Amino acid sequence: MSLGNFRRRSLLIACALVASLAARAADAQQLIIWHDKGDDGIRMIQKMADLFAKDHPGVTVRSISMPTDQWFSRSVAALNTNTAPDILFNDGFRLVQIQQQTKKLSDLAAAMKQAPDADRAFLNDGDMSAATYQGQVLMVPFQRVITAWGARKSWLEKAGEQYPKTWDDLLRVGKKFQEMNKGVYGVAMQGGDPSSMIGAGIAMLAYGNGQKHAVVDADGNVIIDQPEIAKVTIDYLKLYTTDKLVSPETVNQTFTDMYQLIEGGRVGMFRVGNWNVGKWDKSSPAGDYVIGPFPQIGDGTPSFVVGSIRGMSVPTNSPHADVAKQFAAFMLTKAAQQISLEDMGGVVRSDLDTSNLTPGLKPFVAPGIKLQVADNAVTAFPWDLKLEAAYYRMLIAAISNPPSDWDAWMKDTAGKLRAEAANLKKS
Amino acid sequence: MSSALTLPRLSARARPALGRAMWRHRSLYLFLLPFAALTAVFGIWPIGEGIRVAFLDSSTALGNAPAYVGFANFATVLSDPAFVSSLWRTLLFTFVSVALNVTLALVLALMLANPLLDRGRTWFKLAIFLPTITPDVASFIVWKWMFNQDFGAVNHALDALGLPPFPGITTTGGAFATLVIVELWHHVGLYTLIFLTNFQLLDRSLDEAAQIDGANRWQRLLRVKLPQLKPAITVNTVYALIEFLKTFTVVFVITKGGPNFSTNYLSYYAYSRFNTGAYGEAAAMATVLFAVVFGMAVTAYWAMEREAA
Repeated sequence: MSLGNFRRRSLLIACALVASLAARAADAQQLIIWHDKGDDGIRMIQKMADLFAKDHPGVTVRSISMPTDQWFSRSVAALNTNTAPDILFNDGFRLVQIQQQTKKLSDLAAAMKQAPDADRAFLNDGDMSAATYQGQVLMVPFQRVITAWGARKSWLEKAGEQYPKTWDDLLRVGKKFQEMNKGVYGVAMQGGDPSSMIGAGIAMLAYGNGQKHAVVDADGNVIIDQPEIAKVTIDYLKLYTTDKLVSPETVNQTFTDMYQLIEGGRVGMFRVGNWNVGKWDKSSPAGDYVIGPFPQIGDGTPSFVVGSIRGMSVPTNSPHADVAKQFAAFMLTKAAQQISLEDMGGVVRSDLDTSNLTPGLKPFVAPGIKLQVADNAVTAFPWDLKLEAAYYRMLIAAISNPPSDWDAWMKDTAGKLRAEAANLKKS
Repeated sequence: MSSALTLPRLSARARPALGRAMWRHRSLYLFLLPFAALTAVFGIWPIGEGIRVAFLDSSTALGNAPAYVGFANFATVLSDPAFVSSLWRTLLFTFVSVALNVTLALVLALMLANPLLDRGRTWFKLAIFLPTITPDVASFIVWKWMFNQDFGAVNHALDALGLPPFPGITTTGGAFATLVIVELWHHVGLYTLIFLTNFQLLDRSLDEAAQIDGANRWQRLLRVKLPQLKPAITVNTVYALIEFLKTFTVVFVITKGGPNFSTNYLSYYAYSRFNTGAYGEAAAMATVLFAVVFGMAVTAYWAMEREAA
């Protein structure tokens, strides 16, 4: 080969290489996902991304987890300054709050329609209701967050007790736990803010007894004095006052503080979410708990609670909106759902392989369990958060100065809350 | 080379009186100019920007095309019962804290300046001043643990002494008292130090003259020493007012505004609104707080200076 030919051929190869690299660079897209789901969330998204990349060469995903309050403020700021990530992953009610503050989440209705019918068939009305706000599908829902009630297995054995099926069982077992061990509490609750005390406390017990609503009904009417709800509310408040089964610090505690009590081995009964199991299979309480439906209060129907629906949203100013929407819809595929089940516990599909699940996770997917879905009052009524704040003040006041007649207090409180609701609706 | 040689001279008639004075001290002004510029950029500009955000719609505040909403954010904030309650609670906390800190600092300074304390004076000073230089977040976390109802040292000690338990931050009154105590511990050392410095400048001959004239200790304290301590009282009171009106860290670490919003003081309330994306309302709250702090500090300073004159 002459020197001229060699040079010409080298030049051609170099050009081809550059063209190939340029084409690859054009295809290469990195999706950025912001969430607050910690290591479990990062691991799950990475596995899903590896799977997604098989059909979408050049697409990589980087997920960043941060504390919830930071996730919220950073997301709002980023969407408003056109520095948004490609996808936001969180609970539906938080994504609705983001939309209320920014109005910059895409309508994913069209993206969802492109998903195969077989994938969408598993979504029920509750999932879609949680994903929809003001007529727009704000997220692709793919995880149902299920909460159950749990009790320390070794403590039950020591106390000679079974899993508490009724509220009376819970009170008896809780007192025994406190008598057995100094410095521990029978029950863990969180009461440091309105959503802790109402959403994760009273409402959880109400849903766990088969009630559809806890504070307002589907029309926005206050229902706290309906007999079933009133009983749940009073029993909850008595945990703090006459029964003294929760730590006095509970009135200031949010979920982080509550988890410290649970994981530190200082409470005997607590709520267990399917998102907790991944961690609690490996570290304290490390499988030393038994779970079941919430204890029966009055004539309630003991149930597991679908507390919220999680999903992925795509900001309108996402740098790679089209691919991001495809990735969000990919969450509904069987393979992605299997990963979601194994890494975070929550899914929407019911055709998955559950044979390899840990004992902690199996009860959440057991056939025939009674599931009660939480209402979406926060997203349905713009004034609901303010109403809850007003109700919270009344609840804390009752804990500080317990009334002698709880039924009268309930009636009086319902009247005040109705007046507050009327004012809020007007404004 | 003097600056007078480098700058052109203007006719004295062309310059007004203030300009003449500035011109006479132009070297000094030239040296101060960079610092004044830095203050303007990093001090005044953020304040101005914060006030500007108070007039913007929250959802557009950080965008390229912010929408001005006039005084709407102020109207929302001032009609919010939680804000009004927060303002009153902040003022109550401030007045109690200022009174306690300044009074205790004066008492401590009087004791530390007493000539009878001939041994250990330095150790006592160090013990009182140490909390001021201790990192606040770390020390507040320890205080939070100390007041914990489950394992806190405070109630263990009270129990050992046969006294009733202190509710800590589990009741509204307890939380208020807890914050007052912790802030007193954290700040009183600085106020004491300022009083002690003023003590060094007292005219001893006045005290001796009063003593010769038959004045007792109490009379000498009230009529001779306290009037001479007015500069320190003014500085401490104004500084404490500013400090406690803006109370934030101790609330953030210990109570998070609870229980039942009872310690939801203005700075923390504005922060929590900011965290939920309500930038306009949060900035309006901060602007109101700024006006309150500025107004009260200037009024207090003016009143005390006038009395001293």
